[in-house]
Amino acid sequence: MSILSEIIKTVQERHEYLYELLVQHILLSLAAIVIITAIGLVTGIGILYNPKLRGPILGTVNFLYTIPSIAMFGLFIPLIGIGYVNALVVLIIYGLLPVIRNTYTGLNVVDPLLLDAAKGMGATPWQVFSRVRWPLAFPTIVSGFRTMVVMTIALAGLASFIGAGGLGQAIYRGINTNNSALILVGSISVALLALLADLAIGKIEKSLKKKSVTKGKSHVWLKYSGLFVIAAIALFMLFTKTGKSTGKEIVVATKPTAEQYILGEIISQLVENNTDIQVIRKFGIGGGTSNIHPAMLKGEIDIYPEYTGTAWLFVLKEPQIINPDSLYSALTKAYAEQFNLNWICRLGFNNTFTLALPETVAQENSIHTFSELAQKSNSFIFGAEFDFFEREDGFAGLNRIYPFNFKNKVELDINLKFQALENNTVEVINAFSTDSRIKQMNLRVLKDDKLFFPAYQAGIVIRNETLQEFPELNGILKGLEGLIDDSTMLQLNYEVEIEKKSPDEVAQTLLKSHRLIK
Amino acid sequence: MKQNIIDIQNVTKSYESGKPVLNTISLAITKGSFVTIIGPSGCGKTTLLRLINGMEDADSGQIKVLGKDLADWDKIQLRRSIGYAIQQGGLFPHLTIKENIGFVLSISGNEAVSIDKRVNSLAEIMSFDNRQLLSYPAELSGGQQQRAGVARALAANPEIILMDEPFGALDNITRRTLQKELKEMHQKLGITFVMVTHDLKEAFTLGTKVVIMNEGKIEQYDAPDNIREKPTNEWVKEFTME
Repeated sequence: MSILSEIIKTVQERHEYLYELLVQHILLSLAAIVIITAIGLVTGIGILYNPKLRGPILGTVNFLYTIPSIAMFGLFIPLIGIGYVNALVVLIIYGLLPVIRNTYTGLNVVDPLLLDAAKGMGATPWQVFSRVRWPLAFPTIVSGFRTMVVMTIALAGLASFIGAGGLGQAIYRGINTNNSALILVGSISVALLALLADLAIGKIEKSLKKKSVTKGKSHVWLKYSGLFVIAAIALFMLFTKTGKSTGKEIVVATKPTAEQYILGEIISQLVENNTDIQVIRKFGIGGGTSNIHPAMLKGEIDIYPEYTGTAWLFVLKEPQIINPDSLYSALTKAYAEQFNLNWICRLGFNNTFTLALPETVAQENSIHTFSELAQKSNSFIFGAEFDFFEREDGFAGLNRIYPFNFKNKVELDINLKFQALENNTVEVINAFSTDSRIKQMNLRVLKDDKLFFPAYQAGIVIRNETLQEFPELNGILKGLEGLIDDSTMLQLNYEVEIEKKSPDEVAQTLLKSHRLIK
Repeated sequence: MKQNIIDIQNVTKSYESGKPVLNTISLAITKGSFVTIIGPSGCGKTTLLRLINGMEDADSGQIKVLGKDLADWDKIQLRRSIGYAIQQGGLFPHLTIKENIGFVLSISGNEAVSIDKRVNSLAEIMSFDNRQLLSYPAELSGGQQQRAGVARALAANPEIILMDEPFGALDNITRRTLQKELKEMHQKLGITFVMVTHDLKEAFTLGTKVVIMNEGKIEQYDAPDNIREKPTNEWVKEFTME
């Protein structure tokens, strides 16, 4: 299938999702643009008349402008958390520079002779400003405004990184689920939106100019009114948006992987179909657990799928527990006591490190476990990414439990590992047990029979307060307990990453087949 | 005896740098006269002009305009009752010629219809056609711009018009034409003109009275012929000979 037809198919199949993202994107951008314009104009005019503030303010916004945007989004997470407000703050900080600078410069470079002439003819200070200074500065101010609008729309594409939605989510989701058509649709939409906005502002500016020729003095107000109309629309949309969110709702978040998107959909659809609670999806939060966990504690996120190993080793930073069940009970206890968070249930699969080799090779040599592989390892070449060989919880530790004696060990880039396996450069690799490429390449996942790798069993974490507010969620989500085993998750990942089905479609089919939703 | 429409008495003015720009200056201007002010650059002629419409404040001394002390004038009202034209017309580039001419009327809150009427009648006097009225200043020649500047100063029917080197940037031919027009206008309208210039010939052709200034002082204030015939000192004689 050509990329073009894939794009068309993506748009056809997901137009509702894309439309939702588009609306989010426009809302976020518009809100930012309105606030930037207001602050920017006031500040720009302010520093014109307060030379003492000029240096510090221009210096500050200049400095903020040079901070990379991704870093800025990350910087604000500990301060204001993830989501809409954080995204808005970052967009505002970036947008301020062009508006403030152009407003100040535009107003400042007006020929003093003209200002003097106006004053000498009896114009009041306000008239000097509104009749002469402002209109002469207006083209410069508009060009700053245009720069800001285009930049804000483009930058809003990064907002999905911190769960604020928008078209960036399509790009981000496309990247995380290996779907290049979705990436392209997202990117092109953002670009088109920015381009259209730029064109529209240009058109409005031109028509204002024309009117000013024929209509005389009213043109100053026409110029203002353009800004007012935009402000009014944005504020109206903002209010209707916040007005809608007063009902029952919970926020479901996920990390940025295909598997997590699917789990997020499964949880969300289950809740939506069995309660009247509205689910807000904040999928694909950048940085994963390190940003989601703090947001859970703050109450910005209510539910997310997590892995036991990650929670135990990364969040709690406790020493490893070998037995998965003991790990789970220690984990649930610690989460309840320390964080007031509940683990509702485990879903059934374990997405941990494992070793894999082609099914045919495994059959020929009848290898099922790590121990069996160790016995026959001198006839195989092993491939893994660089840091796997470095880490104590990687090859070094593994080799102490299992006496591997590979014919050769090859260090590979993580993305080239499967390719190397395909062209027989290596014969055994390390992998995550639910990686869709295991199924795509028909690999056998070996059993860690001496339990070296920690368990990364997937489960559902929910805030205690959310559970108290909506007690029905407990019973409903418990319905997912043990529902998805390793091969099922592998299959679901395969459908999304390789067959390019959407996570919501895959989730829906699964839930329907178990009669959990109608 | 004719009434003094502008009466300046013992005015001193200095800027922060110290040396006075104007040093105890007195100048009485009678209604309907055309006074030109000339002197080497830095002599204080522009400052003197700008005192009259309150664009500069005197350090000491007294100024009366239209019979009223400057301190008692509302500065905005004062400036609206005095026409003001500066170099290159000082036309606003974002406004059409029509809007430029109507500027003072517009900021004073006149109805659009009455502004239109006044602008059209001025356009007739200055022979601007409709196309020119709707053009922007940059689309007109320097001479035309300058005439628009004069029309703008006339728009509010002021009794006094102040001009600061209005024809400074024009070529000689255009300049002589405009001077002729201005002279006719003065004779016809009876308005009091005060004009700063650096062109000796212009000062003596247009002025019914000429102010010769040097280093913040008035050296001589008299009719052009009297100055030529009886210069008060060697410096004036020298200066007017150039």
